[in-house]
Amino acid sequence: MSSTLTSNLDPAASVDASTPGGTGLAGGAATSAATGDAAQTGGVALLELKNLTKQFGATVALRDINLTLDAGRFHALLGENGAGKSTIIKILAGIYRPTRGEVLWEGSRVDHPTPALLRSLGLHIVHQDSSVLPGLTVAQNFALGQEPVGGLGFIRRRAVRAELAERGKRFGVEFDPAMPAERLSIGDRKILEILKVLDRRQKLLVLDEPTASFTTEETRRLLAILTELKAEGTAILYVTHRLEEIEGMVDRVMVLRDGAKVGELTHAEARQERVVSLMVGRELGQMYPHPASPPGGVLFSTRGIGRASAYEDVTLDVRQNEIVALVGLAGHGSFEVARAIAGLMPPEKGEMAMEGRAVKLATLRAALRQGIGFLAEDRADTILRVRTVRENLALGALEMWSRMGFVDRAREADEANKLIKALAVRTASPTALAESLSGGNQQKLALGRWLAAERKLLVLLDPTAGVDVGARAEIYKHLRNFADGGRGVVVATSDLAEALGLADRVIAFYRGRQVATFTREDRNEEEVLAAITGQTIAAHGGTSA
Amino acid sequence: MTFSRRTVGPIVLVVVGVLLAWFLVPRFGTRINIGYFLLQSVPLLLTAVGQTLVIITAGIDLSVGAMVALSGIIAALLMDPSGPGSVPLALAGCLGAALAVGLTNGLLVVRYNLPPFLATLGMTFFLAGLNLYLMPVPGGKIAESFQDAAATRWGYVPATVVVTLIFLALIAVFIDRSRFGLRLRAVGWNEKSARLAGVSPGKVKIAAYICSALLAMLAGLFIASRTGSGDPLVGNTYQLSSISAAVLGGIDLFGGRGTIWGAIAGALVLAMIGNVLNLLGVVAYWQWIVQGLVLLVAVALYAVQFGRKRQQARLA
Repeated sequence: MSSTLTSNLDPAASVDASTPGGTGLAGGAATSAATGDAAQTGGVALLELKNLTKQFGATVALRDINLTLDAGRFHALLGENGAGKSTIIKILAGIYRPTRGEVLWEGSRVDHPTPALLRSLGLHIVHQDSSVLPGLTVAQNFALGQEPVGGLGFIRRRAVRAELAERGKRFGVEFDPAMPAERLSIGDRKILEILKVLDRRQKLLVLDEPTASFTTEETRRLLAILTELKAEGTAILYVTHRLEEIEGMVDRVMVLRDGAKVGELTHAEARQERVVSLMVGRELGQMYPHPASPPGGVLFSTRGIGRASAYEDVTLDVRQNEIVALVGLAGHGSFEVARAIAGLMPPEKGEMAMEGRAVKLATLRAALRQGIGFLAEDRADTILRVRTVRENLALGALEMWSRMGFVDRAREADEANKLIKALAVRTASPTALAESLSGGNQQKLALGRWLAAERKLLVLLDPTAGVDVGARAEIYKHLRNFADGGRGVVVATSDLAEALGLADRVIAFYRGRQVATFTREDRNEEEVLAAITGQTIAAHGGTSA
Repeated sequence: MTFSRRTVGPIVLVVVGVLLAWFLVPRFGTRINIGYFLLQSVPLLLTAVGQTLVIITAGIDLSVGAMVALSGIIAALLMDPSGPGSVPLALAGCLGAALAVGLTNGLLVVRYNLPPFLATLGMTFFLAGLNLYLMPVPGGKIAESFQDAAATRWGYVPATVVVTLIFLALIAVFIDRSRFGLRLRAVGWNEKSARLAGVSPGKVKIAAYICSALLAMLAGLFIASRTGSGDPLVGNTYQLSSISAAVLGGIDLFGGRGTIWGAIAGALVLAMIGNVLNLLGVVAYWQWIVQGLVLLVAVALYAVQFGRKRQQARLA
């Protein structure tokens, strides 16, 4: 490809003559002869990952990954949560160091990437979490890290504004430079981050799940920018678990599962069904357990509960033996309603009832007294990292296991050991510190705490975020077993596949309102996705029996 | 510049405070008192601005007070005619000490990852001991030429006050508009994001601690020029009053938010409270009570705003 040749001659890049066998990076990185996929590109690959392996303790996050990205092409990296996509991005960004293997940029090895080095190479990464600082203005965010300065270190503000306007014009977007960034929508923040890196010297733009909480319109705008970029000759690596949004424009699709590359497809081969079966790699039934008994009587219910700028007019029932999933985009009500049930965002109007009795859940403590257990989405908020496995398990049941205010240590040890066995928590010992456990096993501890405490209803937020696939299946099994004992589970999740696989009923939220309910029989991901992005007006009315 | 309660609040405090004092407190508005009051506020102004630079990075510098005393002691010892008796040597000594203290604070926080509170608390104890070792009781001698230079008046106006205010205003403009100022706030808001944008948070933080120590050094020199000697305990009040002034100036102790203008206003208000209560003949311990109450009320007013802002930021 000719763009490879011209980019080698780009005087601005800090790679000196990175032709095959070139002298390597200015940053002192070692050189290795380029062995890229020359047949395909007619030159050296833009970016190459060779036998990349990453281990965290005993956990293998990436296993012998080989990827080749070519100049000017649109690449997609697909995989489920926990497949290893973000690990690859973090290695590229220099946040993680690979255990084995190497990263080659235009044939030269990159060993210690820093933001400055990557920028000079033309490799730009837009991370999954927004790096826009809400306390600064749009222009300040745009300039940060590459501020044009005049004498005495003053920022040349006019130059910043001109550059922002110029780049915005190029891609058909407009920003008010003086606006505080906290007033930007999630989508605009992401677009601002992208504009920031498009300095006309970019060769590769890496986007990690950019559309995670986008509206359809925001997604459309982003894709328009990417189309424009690709036409200008910029290569793109687009990381996602949803192929459909980029199906039309992708040149090559690489699929990851459980830390290994399981397939590489061309534009023509990349069809939804094929990619999904590669991504999942197993029957969904194996991952998600089936209910043992049909739903029983109503355990918990809300009637028309509402809270200003959080949720509105929500009426739902949770029955015995039932798992109910609440889904929606961030800020659209699903997490807020789950927090309401846990007493954390109490409704200002409407009623709630537990086993037929009206209850007022104004605090988490009140919810706990009603037999509700709650797991926050951030494990840092749930697990006491520097306390032992046993203490973490005992936390929910301390009152039950205490006499006259003193914890019965023998009983605590006994019950904790039973839970460790029942949940298959992989720990060196019951007295190991919680922080020594993997994410999945920490989550089992958090769950075990409520199993010990004999709850009637569990409320969980994103219970398997950052949990590896094996542990996820186990957590699903425990949740199912819990519900099957005549209890209820409410899961607010941002993982649609999880909601669809695990829950008996899926309730979709849009703009704070429940817009649709899906039962096990009639649902698929597209319909749910359409519901939470406001594309359909509830065809599925209330709850079905 | 955005006009929120946090930026406007401190200015309102100063204006209202001055007007109240002017009309209600006899003798406040006299030329002599105004000059005296501004002179009294110089060390607090300097230390509050230094403190603000550190707090913007989500840190804190407890060692400013001990640094104030140290620079006075070094100056008094090295200018003393019975010792080396050299003004340039004394200034160089103060500068070296401030650079060493600031750099050490910065390295403890950045390189060794100590919480700023503990790093600078340790530094405070170390310096307090060092100060008493160097000068167990107030003593030494500040050169007459240096005292005279510091006491210059332009009409009724003390020159040091004018120079200090201009100097701090320049710092305020610089922090508002420079690359360093932007990076300072970015690091305070979110160190991880700032790093991904290509900022190196360590350098920015170390620079902030060095600036704080340098400003404390100037405050120490100023006090020493007025008393003519060094005093190991003279800095004690500035350890916490510099933080109070920064907070009155609307800073967010979690970092990111806060302006130098606010710190200047906060320091003036705090100094004015002391001055007014002195004029009214109020006993010293009442002054502490009033300062405490004013601080709590101001913080409560700002906190309403901050709580909301932070929550939005997290939800987003």
